[in-house]
Amino acid sequence: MDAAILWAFTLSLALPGIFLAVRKAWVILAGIAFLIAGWGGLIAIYVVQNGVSLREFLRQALSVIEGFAYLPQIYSLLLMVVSLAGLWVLLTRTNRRTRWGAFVGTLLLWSFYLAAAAFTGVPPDRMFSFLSAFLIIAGIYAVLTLGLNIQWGYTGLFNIGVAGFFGVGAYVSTILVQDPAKMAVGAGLEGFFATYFNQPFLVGFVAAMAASGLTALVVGFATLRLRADYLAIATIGIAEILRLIAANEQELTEGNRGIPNIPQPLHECLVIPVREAPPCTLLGIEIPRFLEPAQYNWFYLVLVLGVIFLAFLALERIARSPWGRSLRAIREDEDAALALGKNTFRFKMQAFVVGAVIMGAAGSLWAHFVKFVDPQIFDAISRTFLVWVMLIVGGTGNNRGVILGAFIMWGIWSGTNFLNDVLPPTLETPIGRIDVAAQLFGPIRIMAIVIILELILLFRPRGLLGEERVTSTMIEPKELRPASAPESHSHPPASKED
Amino acid sequence: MRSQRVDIVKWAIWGVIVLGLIWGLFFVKNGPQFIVNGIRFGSILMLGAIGLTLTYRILNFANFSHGDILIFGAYVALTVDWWLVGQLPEWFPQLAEADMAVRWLAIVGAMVGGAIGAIGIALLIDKLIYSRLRRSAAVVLVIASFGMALFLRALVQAIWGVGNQAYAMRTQLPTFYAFGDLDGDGRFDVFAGALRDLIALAGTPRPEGAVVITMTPVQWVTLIVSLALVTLLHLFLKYTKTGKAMRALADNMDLARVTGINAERIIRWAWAIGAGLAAIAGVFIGLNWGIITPNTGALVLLSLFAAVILGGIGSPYGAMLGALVIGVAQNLLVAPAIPQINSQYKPAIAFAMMILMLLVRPQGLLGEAERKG
Repeated sequence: MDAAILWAFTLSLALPGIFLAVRKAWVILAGIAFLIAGWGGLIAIYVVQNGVSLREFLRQALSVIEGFAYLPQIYSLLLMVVSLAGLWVLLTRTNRRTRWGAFVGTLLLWSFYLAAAAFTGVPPDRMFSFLSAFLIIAGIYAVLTLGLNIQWGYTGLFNIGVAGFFGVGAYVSTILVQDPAKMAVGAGLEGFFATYFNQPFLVGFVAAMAASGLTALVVGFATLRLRADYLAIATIGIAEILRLIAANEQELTEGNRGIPNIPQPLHECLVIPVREAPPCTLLGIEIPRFLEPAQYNWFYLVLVLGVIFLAFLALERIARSPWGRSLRAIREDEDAALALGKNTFRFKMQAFVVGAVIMGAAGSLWAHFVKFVDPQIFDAISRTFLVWVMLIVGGTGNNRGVILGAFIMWGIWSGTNFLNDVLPPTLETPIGRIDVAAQLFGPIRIMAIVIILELILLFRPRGLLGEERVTSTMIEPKELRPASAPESHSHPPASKED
Repeated sequence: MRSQRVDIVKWAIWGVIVLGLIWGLFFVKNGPQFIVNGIRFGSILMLGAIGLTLTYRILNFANFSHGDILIFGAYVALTVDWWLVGQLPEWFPQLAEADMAVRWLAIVGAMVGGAIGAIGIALLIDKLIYSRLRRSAAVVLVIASFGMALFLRALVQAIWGVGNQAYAMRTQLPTFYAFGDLDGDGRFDVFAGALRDLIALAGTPRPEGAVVITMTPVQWVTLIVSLALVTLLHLFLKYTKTGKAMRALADNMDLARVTGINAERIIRWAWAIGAGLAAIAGVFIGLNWGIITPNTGALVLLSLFAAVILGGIGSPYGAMLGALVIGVAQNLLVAPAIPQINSQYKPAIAFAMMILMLLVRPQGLLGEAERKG
């Protein structure tokens, strides 16, 4: 079974690489063939040479440093940095050979990584638990950032209540999917809503998107006819109000205690249960359970990457459609778009709702991965602000850029968590004792990220990748795309509204 | 041409406000008390809202870091306050016995210190960030200010910690003011006394129709100083050369420049006035609520924006009016009038009023129309 999982995992990792790198079908096919050949060989070696000296040798070599607790994390972080560098080359360079080099190089690195894990017997679970969690969360952020990209990057709608739409998705999905039996006794007071609906994940997921879209409809109706600042104020307001509701409507949301033990999609159908459980059937076919509990995250990663993939494809299609062109026209000059007969309010509303729907989907994914929601989910810093930084760092208006930005910024954000372990917990100073972990570390990290943002705003407003010049699906993208985007397109928020 | 319909809306809103006041005064239990509380909170909001509306009008962007400038000033004031409480008796031995006097003097010093701190940080941010983005689109400035808001909050957390803090002010006994026929002799009495009188009154049945309002000295000071500062600002805008220049700049930047007004100097003035008043508002919030936390600024920001939009964004007088309306409405609607509403929802009231206002009259009560789309 390990082999099958390795397969699934590798393919899932290759997925973003493939779709980000190329648009041609034969390249995707070649990539898959490459994977099959490479991994077939690797697994053959693994199966045949079970217990050979090479394996023993590697195991002993690694066991010397295995005592070092952060080995898997450091290993993974290193790999991640190199992969990101590969992704960066892939996305920024137009030279086909360079891109292929980066693509293959990254894949080879992964092969080495997995081979090392397989041969040395360091449990892959331990190696991957950190990494898969990292990729899932970064992936959820990527979905969130894609949602913001259609609002801000395409249409110029200034939404700083991302946390609100994200949180609505998380809460709605949780309340619909949660199994009342999983709640502690006494939780959930009386009242009309004092129940959890125990529905399948898909119902919660769709409802999360609908609820988020509905919230956007309300906010948009009041503010989208006005200057951009009003929308900003209203979105930051709605996020705060939703947080208040989540904290105070105890019978609906359990208040500040939060809702624990949120079921995960297909968890009971995929994971080998501790005790005997009735067989899990789908459309009359029994599904064999084959995942260890710790391996479930791999399935979830595939799910998240699938959502990214769909959102990405949809947004790329939108960018090249007449609708997408109208959105950009509104962003560049709303009055001109209005003069050309476009119903700008309607277009803005549609873009706002579509973005919010994607954010709601991200919220649902988050809730079912973390398995816990509480009002902290509306946190303006780690939701709204970080997402904005991801968008601006990656390149406003560029879907590949924002995915890259999400992974890079989440890497920096979560990577700096290790500093917290290294730093002393408290510091004696002449002015008194300072609690480094609580008082200094978090704020300084935020300040550092803000400085990154302000520097980018001042010196490189188009972000790492910048906006692509796309007009239509009818035109080959490479004909239009110059080596570097021209400066006239550098300023995404070019709405001059007065 | 459009004025006919718009004016009806405007007068309808005025009517709603007046009706709400009448309803609160005569039909809500303890209504007058809550209205007075509302006016007090509204006068604090006023001080905060002025800065917001000035930067909006002159620099043409919604400054999301205003709430955090407010709380930064409040924390600087906190440090000055505790330092002065320790130092004043040493400097002036004759004050050693007068504890309350020391504390009041320290608060006055703290307000000055906090205002200087807030003005300093606001001018620094303007110099480092906003002045370089003057030619950018307004929304870039808004992003930058959103970032600066989080930066300032993190800075406050790093320097002063994340916990609750309080100013060096004693808990004070409220004075109560009772109006009505208190002794039942058919004549209208006006009565004021300290808490012991309130207790004495509690021993006897409370006379029908008596209106009781309690105020502590801190609350009186809040109300009076806020209103005095707002009046001073009005005089400043109306009669001084700088104030006139500021209004000219707000009306038309280019035209004002042509007449030789030094725009950068006026912009610095606007930042200084806004940040200084915000810091004083922060001190008042700390005194009235008892505590401040690094998140207080963000919490108040929503009410500030609601006040500004209600009054008409960009109009200082509108902001003052909006602040009063929001303050009264928050205090009147939550808890006393509609017991079902949790008092935590005060910001939600402000937000709902803001959304309603945007729907019926986006330019606010005193603002000028700038509807589009």
